[in-house]
Amino acid sequence: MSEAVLQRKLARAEAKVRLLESLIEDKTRELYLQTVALKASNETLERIFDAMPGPVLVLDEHLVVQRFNRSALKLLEATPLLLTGLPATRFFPTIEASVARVDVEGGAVMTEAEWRLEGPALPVLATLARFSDGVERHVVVIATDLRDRKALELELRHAQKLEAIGALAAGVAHEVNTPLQFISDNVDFLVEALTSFDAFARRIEEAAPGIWSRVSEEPAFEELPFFRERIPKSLGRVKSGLERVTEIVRALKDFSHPGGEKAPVRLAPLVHRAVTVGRHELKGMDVQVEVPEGLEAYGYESDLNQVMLNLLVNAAHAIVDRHGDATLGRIRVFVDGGPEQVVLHVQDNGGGMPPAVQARVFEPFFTTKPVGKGTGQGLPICRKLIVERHGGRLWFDSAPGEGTTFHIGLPVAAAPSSGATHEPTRRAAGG
Amino acid sequence: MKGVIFNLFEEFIVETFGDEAWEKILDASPHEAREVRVGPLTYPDGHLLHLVGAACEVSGLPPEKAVRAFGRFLFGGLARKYPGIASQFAGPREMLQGIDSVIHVEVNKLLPGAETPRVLCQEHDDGSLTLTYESSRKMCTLLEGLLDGLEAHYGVTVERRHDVCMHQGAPRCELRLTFSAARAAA
Ligand code: HEM
Ligand SMILES: Nc1ncnc2c1ncn2[C@@H]1O[C@H](COP(=O)(O)OP(=O)(O)OP(=O)(O)O)[C@@H](O)[C@H]1O
Ligand SMILES: [Mg+2]
Repeated sequence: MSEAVLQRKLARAEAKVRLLESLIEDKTRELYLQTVALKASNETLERIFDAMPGPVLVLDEHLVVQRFNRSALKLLEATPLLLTGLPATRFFPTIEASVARVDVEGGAVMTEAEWRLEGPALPVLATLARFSDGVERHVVVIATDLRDRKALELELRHAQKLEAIGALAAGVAHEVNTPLQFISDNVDFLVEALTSFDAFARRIEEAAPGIWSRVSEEPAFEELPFFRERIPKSLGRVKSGLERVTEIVRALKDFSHPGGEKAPVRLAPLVHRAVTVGRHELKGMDVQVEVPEGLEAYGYESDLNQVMLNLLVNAAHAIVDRHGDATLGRIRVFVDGGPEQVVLHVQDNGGGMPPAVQARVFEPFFTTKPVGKGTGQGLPICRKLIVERHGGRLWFDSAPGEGTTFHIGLPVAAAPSSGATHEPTRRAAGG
Repeated sequence: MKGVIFNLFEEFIVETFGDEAWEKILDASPHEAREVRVGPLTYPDGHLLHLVGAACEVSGLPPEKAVRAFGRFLFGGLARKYPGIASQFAGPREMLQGIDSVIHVEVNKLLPGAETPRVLCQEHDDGSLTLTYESSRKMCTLLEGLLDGLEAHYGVTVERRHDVCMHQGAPRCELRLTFSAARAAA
């Protein structure tokens, strides 16, 4: 090869090297910028992933956890260290069957499952799907926490049970009413007959003085004076007892009368009814009802019956819990309020609640009572009935060792937006 | 066309006709066709045509022959430069069937902006193949050369009937290929 050719070749080789160097520099810069941009978009995605309210897990081909968001950690009460690399079968025992379904059916598959890692079993609705990122195949699992829904279902079942019991009580009350009426009529007849007999006896005594004492000296009639004196009293007691039973039966009937429409509800009879129905729990306690006759709230009567009874029974339990002796219990039901709202207060001198209990009383199933005595559904249901069904408020003040007052705020009339006329707060008594 | 092709052309000339020949070709080419090129960058197709024209002048070969010979060389050069791509096929058929879906796809990852042609295969019951070639460059002569290279690479003979051709106004070239085992070993 000639010197000249060699020179030219060398010059071209050098030019090529320079070109390649600048090319490498350009590419390096480009790569750097792209890496930065990619990182930023990756971080954004990561943040979105983490901020998603639903728990999401990404598994590899062998169903081992690769990625997860914060909600997933929270749901499983796990640490990132624990969850990373964990086979999903450890907390989702039926996952293999579900993935098999994805492979057969394609798309996304939904399945109800029980997840359990360290804590208690979690009912979840899991949605599974496969995806590929071009390198690997993955399974993505999106979970919906079903605990609230399960609790709601239970609550509904409880409410339905109450309703059924109510209907049963109304039926029994209706049945009892007829013989009760019959007994009552007969007692009235007996009183009348006895009065007449007594008048007759007096007439004979007048006609033949001394006859009464002479006859009653005979051994067979020895007790006659005693009977004569006691029978009217005894019948009087039967009568008042009957009146009481009649009252209870009527209260039961009214109490369990199924809801119907929202309407003005008279509060005084409502409270008295609840006291009557709850009398077994309230026995021996001093229950004062200071609700003006004619005062009304706007709502569902059967809901308000239930709420009042729940609050009274809770108060009674708190009293027995504190004093052990019902006769020391004092419960006061009183009202105040403005033209648009009436507030019913149920005050007791029971044991009150420590702050830890106060914070949780409206939680479904929270109870401090032994099994069989409380299910912890009373107050959550009351809250729902008052707040959701009536747009009212239910709250309380409680002092441990002194007592508790529950407050029910209720609208007095239909909301103005519904076009109803404004009802006066208090009505003439006796209406 | 990518710099790789230009540089393999230079190699082809140097190997076949020697260093001096390449210098002569450069001297006989227009100024812009003489630039230094690197593999991944793209250069005007016209420059390659200038270089080929100059090569024909210097070597005395007719253009057809020169391009075809370059195609044969090019196949070996590409297979050598990109062993990962070339080595994944069991035989010549498999390779031809993989041009469009594998080879040129990989090429585009390594050399972004490469304008590779569309080369598709259709199999027949008698074991022959119809290969269709479609490119705005209409470089079916280069294609034939590449097929020569393929023959040499796999040690087979590929009979060709090139009845349908873009140079005769067809929208694409069609080559009927029949394979036979290597010629009796020498
Ligand atoms: C290892 C295998 C191969 C590699 C790495 C490869 C790579 C390339 C590259 C880099 C180009 C230039 C594209 C451009 O600059 O825009 C090209 C063009 C071309 N390739 Fe391939 N190729 C391979 C195999 C084949 C085979 C087996 C055939 C056909 C038998 C083929 C037919 C062509 C043709 C005809 C062109 C010219 C461009 C055109 O016609 O538009 N290639 N190839
Ligand atoms: N008046 C009250 N005084 C003190 N504690 C109360 C009072 N009312 C409720 N609580 C507390 O709140 C808890 C929850 O009350 P809630 O009515 O929801 O359920 P419960 O009475 O335990 O059961 P249930 O009403 O379902 O039979 C009670 O267990 C008790 O600890
Ligand atoms: Mg309760």
